[in-house]
Amino acid sequence: MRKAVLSLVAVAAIAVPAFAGKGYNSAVKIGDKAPEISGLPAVYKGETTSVSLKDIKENVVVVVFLANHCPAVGMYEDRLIEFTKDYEGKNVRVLGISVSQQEGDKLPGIKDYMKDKGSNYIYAYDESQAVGKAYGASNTPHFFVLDKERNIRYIGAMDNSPKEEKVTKHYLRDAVDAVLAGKTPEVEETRPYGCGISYAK
Amino acid sequence: MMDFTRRKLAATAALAIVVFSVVAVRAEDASNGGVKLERLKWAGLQQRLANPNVKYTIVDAWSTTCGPCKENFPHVVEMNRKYAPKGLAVISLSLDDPTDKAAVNEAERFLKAHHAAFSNVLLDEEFGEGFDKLNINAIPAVFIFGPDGKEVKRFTMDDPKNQFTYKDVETFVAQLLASK
Repeated sequence: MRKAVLSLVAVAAIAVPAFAGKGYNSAVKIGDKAPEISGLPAVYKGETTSVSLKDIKENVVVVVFLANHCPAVGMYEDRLIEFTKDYEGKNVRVLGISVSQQEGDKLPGIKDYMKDKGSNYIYAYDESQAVGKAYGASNTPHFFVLDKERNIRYIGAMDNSPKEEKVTKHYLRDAVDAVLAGKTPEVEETRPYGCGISYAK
Repeated sequence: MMDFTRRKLAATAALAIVVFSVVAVRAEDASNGGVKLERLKWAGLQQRLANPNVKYTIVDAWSTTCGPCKENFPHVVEMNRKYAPKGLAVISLSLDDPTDKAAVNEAERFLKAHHAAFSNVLLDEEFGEGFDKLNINAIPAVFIFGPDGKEVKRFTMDDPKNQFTYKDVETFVAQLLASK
């Protein structure tokens, strides 16, 4: 009898869908070590630079997958700039990453976009799309909050409505505040909202 | 006399314009097969999916802000042409904001331009809720339902390592219809 129960458990374990956690992310789950980000070309304050996760000193890193062409990214741009400003000097680093292969989403496009919008975060380009795949990034924008040990503590949307006036829940801010305070975020995973990311076959 | 001829000419011209425009409107109607965009709540859509008169129903979730959806829409039109006679019902499901008039008008224009001569539904729920209802992160996404309205198969972009192409969908549909 005990054996039968055990094999049932085994079947249940196999039947769990490939999607981790609540089922919104196919590659990583809460508590996982954040996949490496290494030597990506990036733009910060109008200058071309290079970014690696291991070189970031801040206690919290917010990784957000972006694409200049995406209307949802445009809808969130002001909120992202405001977030970056509000958390400047609070041990939080915001790192945008584009893995899009559309021409305007590559580094020169990123430079123009940031100048045009007044973007204040670091914005990197992952030509290989490897970082996007490793994080299971399916949307733009798609947010990941990493703690001091670079474990993933929050995955998902910035808030609960693409329309700023309808926002009632500030998932990203709440998660970052919790992690900064050494607490577990109340909401650790939400469904990302925005354009789908197309990966090369 | 001159005056009469002129009037007659004017009347004839006016009539010609009226007739011509009626014909033109009819021609446009015929060319887009009376394509329309119908608002349905989630519950209404579920009822539509249970269709005992067909073998399967395919749903293509799209929106006017989704480039890849629009690029691939001709595949949906093509599947309707090829497989509707073999028992496939096609539904396009717009996840555009139903309160955004410009987006809804654009969706309608797009469907007409592509001669989408099948059911075209605009999900009439809170903007963004369609993703939760369908349990998807992103579009395009394609779903296949049996005549009982139960989902048989889904194709999504949600897993970067396992994204679908419309060729995958068509291969699956062809096999499915051939086996039943």
